[in-house]
Amino acid sequence: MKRYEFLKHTADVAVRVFGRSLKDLFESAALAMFAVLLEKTKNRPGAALTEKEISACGETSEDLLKAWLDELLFCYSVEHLVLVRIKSIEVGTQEMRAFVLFDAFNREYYAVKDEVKAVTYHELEVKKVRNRWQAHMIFDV
Amino acid sequence: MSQVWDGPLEKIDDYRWRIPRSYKAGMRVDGIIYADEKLLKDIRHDKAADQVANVAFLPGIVKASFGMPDIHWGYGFAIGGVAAMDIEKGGVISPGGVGYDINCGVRLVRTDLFEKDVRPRLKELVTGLFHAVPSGVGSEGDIRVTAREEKEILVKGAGWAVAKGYGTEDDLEATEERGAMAGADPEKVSDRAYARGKQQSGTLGSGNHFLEVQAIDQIYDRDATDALGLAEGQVMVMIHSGSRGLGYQVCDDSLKTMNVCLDKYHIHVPDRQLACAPVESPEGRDYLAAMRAAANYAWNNRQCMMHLTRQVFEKIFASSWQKLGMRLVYDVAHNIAKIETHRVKGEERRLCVHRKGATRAFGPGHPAVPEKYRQIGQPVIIPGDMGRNSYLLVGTQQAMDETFGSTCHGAGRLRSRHEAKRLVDFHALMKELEAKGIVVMASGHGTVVEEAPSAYKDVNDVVGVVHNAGIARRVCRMRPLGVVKG
Repeated sequence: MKRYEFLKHTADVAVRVFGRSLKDLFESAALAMFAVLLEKTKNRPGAALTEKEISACGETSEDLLKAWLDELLFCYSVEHLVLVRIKSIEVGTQEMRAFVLFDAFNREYYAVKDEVKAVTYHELEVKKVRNRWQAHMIFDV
Repeated sequence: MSQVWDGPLEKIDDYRWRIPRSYKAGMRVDGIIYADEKLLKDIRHDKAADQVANVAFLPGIVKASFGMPDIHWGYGFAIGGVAAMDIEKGGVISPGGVGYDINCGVRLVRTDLFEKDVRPRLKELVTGLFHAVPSGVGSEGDIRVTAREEKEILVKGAGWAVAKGYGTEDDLEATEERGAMAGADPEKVSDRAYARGKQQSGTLGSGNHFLEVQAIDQIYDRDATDALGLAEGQVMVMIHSGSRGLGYQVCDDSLKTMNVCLDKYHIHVPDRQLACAPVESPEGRDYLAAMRAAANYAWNNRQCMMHLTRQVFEKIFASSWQKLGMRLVYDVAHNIAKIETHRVKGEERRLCVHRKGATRAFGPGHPAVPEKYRQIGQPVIIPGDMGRNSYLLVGTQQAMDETFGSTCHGAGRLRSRHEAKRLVDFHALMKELEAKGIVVMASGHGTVVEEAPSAYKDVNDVVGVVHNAGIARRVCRMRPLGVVKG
């Protein structure tokens, strides 16, 4: 099952994200955002990874999803941490928590693509379609 | 490309089109789009015109909801939108009417050098600029600031840089708002915004930000160019950048707060992205104070980058920047909200003017225009897209009368970044630019391709419309020689 697909938008990046479960959806969204931010150009076996606990809360699933991505964006833009793998993730109705493995950004191994200014509220939607989960979001780049 | 919007556009004249109030129940004023027949076709390719109509719902809006010829779909407000609200009549301020990149703007620096002086050293010059001015996503600056200094920057704007020796008083004189808006409050900027902006002072950023070495290739108004000390073939430098992560976070924070204001203040809008609050409400005041702080951060940024640019020129041409005549022509913001007084229905009114992807273009005689320019009008800088022309214009009395002294800001996107990446080949593009003699240095292939000229409307068309409509007057045109991109 594909994790995400990019949609048409004039100035920004619109994405549709998919997941088998809500937490799977949140994981897909994280991967989609990092796919916009950069791409790995070289493997670095044996790199020392950083593990961080990320938690977020929101009144609705949409708010929660944005809050989760906001935290990851902050880790990237301020601490220069690149998402490698989500070790574990729990998503509730208004709270979520994950243990995430990050690599330190390095130009030798990663090529920068776009700058995400923000995860917008524009057409931000989380819904269940049949028994799969789907989200739609637009990144301002 | 298929037409997406088929709403009504009544022709007023060759350059003005009206979206009547009757189009949507709730519109308080008409929408007016500045465009010609050719650009109108592009405008119908996305929902920008619908956004112009939606903005007309906002409380306190006066005259019309304006769209400039470079208009395209944005967050709430289209990019290329102008709207002014009467503060005393419950007029609102909307972060979407400013944009995420608060005070994204552009400055133009003149030099005494001509193309023939620069050509032999062009590659060296562009390489020097690429290395001296940090660019690229998340790039960090060499200009280190402490936490206390950061707060000072948010208040003093470009004045901070000048006090540090990164420029002169003349630079401030030639900057909109003298490089610092009064009423900025660093306390209204979140810790998160500070963290995002911390290492980014004096950085270019990416996306459509750039630093360009240009040559004037056409003069339209010789009186104005004489007054500005400009001639054909003269080398100029243009710096286009904004408030970086700090500004983006201020906008994001404010949207979260304002989301509840629509219900709180009983404001009905067809699109929740037009989240707003009355200017004279706690939320409105807080946003304005934070926005001004972010705007000042951006002005300081551009001042610092100009300083770094001057240093590179000094090194390569073995002369001081003063002897090279590297004076700042002007610096304008094109994502901002200002409190200004304008004449509405014969009365002087205090308005909150939103310019999102639009530039202030005050006419001759206006006191806000620097004295040395007061006779010709406020300089307006319109950056084109990579490989194409940029323009210098001046504001007009007609702009004052019609659009609250506002005009367009650039070329406006036509294709999505995704489409651009799909349609444009990086190497082919670089070959095309090379054939034109343009040296490009960029941090990433992706950003170069996304910014390809074919992804944009033609700036010559956009500028042609504002000139012919009389809301700005062409002074001269520049052609790129070298480009540094993030």
